[in-house]
Amino acid sequence: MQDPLALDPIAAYDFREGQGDTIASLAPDEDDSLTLTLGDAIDREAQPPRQGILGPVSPPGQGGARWAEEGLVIEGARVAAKTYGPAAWLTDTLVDAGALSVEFVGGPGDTEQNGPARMVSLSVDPYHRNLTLGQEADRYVLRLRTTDTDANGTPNIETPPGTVRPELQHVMATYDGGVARVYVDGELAVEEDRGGSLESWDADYPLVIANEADLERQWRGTVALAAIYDRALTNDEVTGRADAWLA
Amino acid sequence: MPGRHEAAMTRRDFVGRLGAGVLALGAAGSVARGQGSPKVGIAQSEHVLVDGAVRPYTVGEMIDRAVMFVTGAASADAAWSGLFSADEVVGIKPNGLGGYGCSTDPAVITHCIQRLHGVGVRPESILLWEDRPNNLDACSLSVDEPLLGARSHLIQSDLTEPITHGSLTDRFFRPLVNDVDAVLNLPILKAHPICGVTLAMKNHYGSLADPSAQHFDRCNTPMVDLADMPFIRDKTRLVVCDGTRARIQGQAYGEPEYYPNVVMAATDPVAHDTVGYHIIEDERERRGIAPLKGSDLEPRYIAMAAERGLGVADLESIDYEVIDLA
Repeated sequence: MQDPLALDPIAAYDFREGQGDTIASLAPDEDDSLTLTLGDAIDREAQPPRQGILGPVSPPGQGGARWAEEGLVIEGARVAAKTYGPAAWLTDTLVDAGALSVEFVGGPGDTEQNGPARMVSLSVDPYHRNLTLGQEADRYVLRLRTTDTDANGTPNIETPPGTVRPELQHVMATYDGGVARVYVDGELAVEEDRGGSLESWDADYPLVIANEADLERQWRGTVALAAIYDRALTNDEVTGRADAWLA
Repeated sequence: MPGRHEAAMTRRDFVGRLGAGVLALGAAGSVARGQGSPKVGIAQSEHVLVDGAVRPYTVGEMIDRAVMFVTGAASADAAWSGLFSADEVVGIKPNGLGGYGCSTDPAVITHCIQRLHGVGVRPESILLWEDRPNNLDACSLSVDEPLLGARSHLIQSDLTEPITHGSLTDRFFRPLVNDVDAVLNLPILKAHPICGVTLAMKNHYGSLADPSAQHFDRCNTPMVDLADMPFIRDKTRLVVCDGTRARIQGQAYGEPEYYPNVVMAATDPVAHDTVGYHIIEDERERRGIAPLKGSDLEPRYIAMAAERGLGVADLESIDYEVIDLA
């Protein structure tokens, strides 16, 4: 069953059939810091293309975002669902656990967007993050900051080329304190050792869905679910989640 | 037929009139569009490529139309006659760094040489050069086989002593400095991983001996000093850019990723590069690629060159026109 709370996430957002400009976490929000806001992006009108030298210039996606039965459809630019302020409790909980999982269910708008285009981020700008699950053209990318990495969580952990498809996909990143894994549609796509610990994480970063906090790394597509767990889900659990969403 | 002196005066007067708008700009580098604005002709044809190969007849027509726009001449013969004269030594700098398929096309080079012949420039008075054998090869040029009588050279075969201008010190292809009267610059339309774009001004990195030493400040300051070298600044007569295929991000070599199907012509290299930069930037925006402007890759050299008085960098002050050959 597509129950966002089936495996006890500490933050969970169901974007199906949403409305308004806020998305509350379905998991208990211990310090009221996990509600996401879309600001003015919802139902923002598309801008007419400007005239370039060789013809009209119309960037991919116009306008902002809109609600649909399948989730939040993001076609424009400068769209993000993010916490009003730092997601401090979330960050502290994950640091204490020393492990995590990040779940994203959605349909990428294309296989060319890059940046990486941020899908789920605990970060403040393009160069400082605790974690990001994103898309780099036809690959999913995990940036996970530990005491052994830089403040940007690089080097990237990347799935093989062709992993991203412009259709509903289930993406899960897990970290058990030593190994980071990314699953796509229930299948392990990449695993790499990631030494160190989460002690270097910064509790001042917001939680951001579908963009970077400065709105300069837009991810376009349809978001159905985003969830975060304070443990590394097992292979079987990941497969079960994917089966539930993609059946 | 006019005598040699009369022909030279006619050409110099003509070029002087073309450049008057530029020279009057001063440091600001901008002027109200209209009389005095530098011209950039952009000839476009959806038929110029067939299975990825350039059609010689079509690209020749595009070159002619673009050059006619820049000069205001009623015919290609008149346009080229107004820019070059029979008694001159003409140097042609193609761009072969991008490899096969992403370098100045042989059909572009051939047509330009034919137009120079039409002006009366002797075949042996036309020379081409590049800095590496592979780069010549990518343009289907060879030091062993003249192209319509024009010889190709590797610059290392004949270099000057070091010449310093501003931040830049390097050795140069000696014939460019000493023998060539007029330069025809044949760049292509490419992004660059260090300086953002590589167009007419960057093309002359293939005219100096140690281009790798001139990449400081992301090439911006040395590129302006290079363009301001008297033997480049004062001898550059025409830029004809092969924009049939282009790259808009990443490395300056490799497969083309954008097919604008254009040839651009200009007498103002700064105006040319301004237009080329905007064409690349427009396509990046169409594809949702982050703009060069405001990033480390912003081609600051263009505005810097305008501030130096080398041309016009304000798109609003450039008289450009897309000429659709359909």
